[in-house]
Amino acid sequence: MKKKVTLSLDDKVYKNFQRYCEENAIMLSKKVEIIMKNIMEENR
Amino acid sequence: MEVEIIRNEKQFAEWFKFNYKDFGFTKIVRGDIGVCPDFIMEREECEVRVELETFASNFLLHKHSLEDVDEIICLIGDVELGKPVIVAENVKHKIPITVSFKIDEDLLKDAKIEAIKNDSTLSKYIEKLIRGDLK
Repeated sequence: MKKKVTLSLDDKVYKNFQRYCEENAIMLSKKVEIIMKNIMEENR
Repeated sequence: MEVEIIRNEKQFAEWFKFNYKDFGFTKIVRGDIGVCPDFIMEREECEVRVELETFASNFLLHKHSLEDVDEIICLIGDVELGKPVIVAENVKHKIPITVSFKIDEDLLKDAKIEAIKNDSTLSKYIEKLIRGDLK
């Protein structure tokens, strides 16, 4: 199940991330999930 | 007190008190008393009602009325408001942006645990992950 989470991010980091996602046609939330998933798997 | 890097609206108001002449104002008629407009200024012998915002869009978020202001002075002009929006240029600032994501619940739980383990907040932890991924 998906849960809405509100985060407070550095605006430059967010804008770069937003641009990256737009250029690569990826949904921001999906990309955040992928990054988190990769890190969690690395930590296991 | 002059602020080197502005991180919030209060610090922006402090900065403004020392730098209002950059915007063509000659004096502060009425300072910040916690109501909209934040400042009543004087320019060319006319009073100008000024609201300060970090993000211009915060004017809407704070539910201010356009009827109460003549100008909005901001750090980040992210929206048009129907009144002059003046962006304070050459000001060092580090203002966090609030964004919402829809994340898998289990992943979110794991991320919260990792954030605690790293002595961080969830926002800071995810920001670090994003920053690392963009490199």
